Amino acid sequence: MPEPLLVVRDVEKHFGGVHAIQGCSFEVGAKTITGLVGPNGCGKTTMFNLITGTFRPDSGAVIYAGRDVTGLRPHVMAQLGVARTYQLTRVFKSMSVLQNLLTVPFDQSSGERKQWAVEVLAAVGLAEEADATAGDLSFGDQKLLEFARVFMLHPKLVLLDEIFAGISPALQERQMRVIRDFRARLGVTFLVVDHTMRVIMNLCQEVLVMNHGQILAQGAPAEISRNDRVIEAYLGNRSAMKGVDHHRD
Amino acid sequence: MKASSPFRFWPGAVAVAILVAVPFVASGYITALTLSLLMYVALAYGWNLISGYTGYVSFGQVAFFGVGGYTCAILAKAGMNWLVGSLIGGVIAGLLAVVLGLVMLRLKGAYFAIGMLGLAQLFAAVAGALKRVTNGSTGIFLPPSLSLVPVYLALLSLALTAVVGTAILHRSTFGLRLMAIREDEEAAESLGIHTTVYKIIAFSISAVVIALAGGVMTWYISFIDPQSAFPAALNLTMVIMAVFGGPGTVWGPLVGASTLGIIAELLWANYPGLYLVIYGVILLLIVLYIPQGVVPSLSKLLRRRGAAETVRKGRRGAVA
Repeated sequence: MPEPLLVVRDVEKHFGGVHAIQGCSFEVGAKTITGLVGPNGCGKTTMFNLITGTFRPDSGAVIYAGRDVTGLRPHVMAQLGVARTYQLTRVFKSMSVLQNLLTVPFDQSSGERKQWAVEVLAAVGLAEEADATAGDLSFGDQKLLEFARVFMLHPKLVLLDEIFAGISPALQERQMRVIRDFRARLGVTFLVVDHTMRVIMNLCQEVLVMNHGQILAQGAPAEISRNDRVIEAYLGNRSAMKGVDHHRD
Repeated sequence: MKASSPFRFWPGAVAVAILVAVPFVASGYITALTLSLLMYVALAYGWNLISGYTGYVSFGQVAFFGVGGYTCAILAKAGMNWLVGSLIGGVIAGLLAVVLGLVMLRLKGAYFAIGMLGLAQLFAAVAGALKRVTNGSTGIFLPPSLSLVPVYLALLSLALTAVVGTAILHRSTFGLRLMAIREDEEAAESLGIHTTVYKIIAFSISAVVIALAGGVMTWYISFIDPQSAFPAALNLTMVIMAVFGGPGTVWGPLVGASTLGIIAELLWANYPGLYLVIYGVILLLIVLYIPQGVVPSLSKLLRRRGAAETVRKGRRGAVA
């Protein structure tokens, strides 16, 4: 495994009586595409919130690029190069597509910013919608816009929370192409949460499986899909997994 | 491109020239009416910055109107020039807003709106209680100003600065970030925007604009007491004007303040008994039929017209 860009070590998080994350530890290798899967409510989104500083862990550490970043505020994490999308899309609805992108980054002139925004829009296939109002876009295009926006930060680590959910296979293909392209050209590292197994298996070099706030298994997609504990955690038995997998696709 | 031609600024320049000429050529009544419209314009733009652009709807920005007013009154009473007193009032209000913003801007939505309402009332109560400084509910009397012109020109400069400043803000990255906070504060923060800092800056500039208007108006009226310094109705007026014109737009507050200001004046002059009833009905109709405000609705209409025109031309072209 390559040098880790992100290390999560023994992280715990309670919400009242709910033990959401129970001593979670894992690493994400630099310039990899790593999947994070698990049943609903297993703590994937909470883990994203802990990494990006939305929540502060009760104990444990988050180490990013060799630096302890535990409990840093979200805007600081973003400026350090950690970008994310949200499960429920959060675009700036009354602003234009281009304006959504031009809010950041901080260390560029407006000319450079605009040039980069145009490139990013072309990459995700939203170039023609640049002047459209974000709120008027279709659900799929809003997802694409939020996906595009993370690249404005010139991020090193991108956390994607179910960006493939509820959109057409053609758009999914396009997103996968962009992810692979940004990784290959710019060395961006991706941590991808999704239930669309076809995408995860296709896209990721490494897959982490969470259950009940812990890492249940870690390995290459092929190993994970054969792992009995994973299958059990997810569905109870192997035949059901095929059914659900098909349904999700 | 048309936008870059020098003719673009002509309508604005003509309007400014007319406004500058008003106190010298028009009647005292027209001058006084325009003067109050200019005050409304400044207030609506001040409110628009924190509430229209940043999305923190405040029902208590009038607190800063009073801070500016009292600062000007106290300093003028002590012998200072009223304009300098007003400027100092603006600075004090701006600094005060930074401190208050740290607390108040943690509140969101209705809680912020109501919190600010309470804050304005608290300010009025404090002004009433600090008798040695503010003369309590008796108020402070100032020498009546002999000419309208200096006050008028001060308010004109303030209103113009507010309009031009908003036009610049609207195209700036700073403005985009304020709008991003309004649209989705958590998403804005996840993009690296230090939302607290941006909100406080917007809140503080808003306070400065409103306090400057308060200072100048106090000199104009030559009197201040807690009720005239913190009138809840005035806060409602700036909200209504900005919302009527279109909050979070460059021209909305100008359109709202001048239209509603003139309508209110005409109604008051012609139907003093029914004035508030008719005014209320007009507001109801606006909220029902163009809830986004006049400016966004008009520009949408024009865009649709434009699109239809383009299609028609395109068809004609295809036939030819």
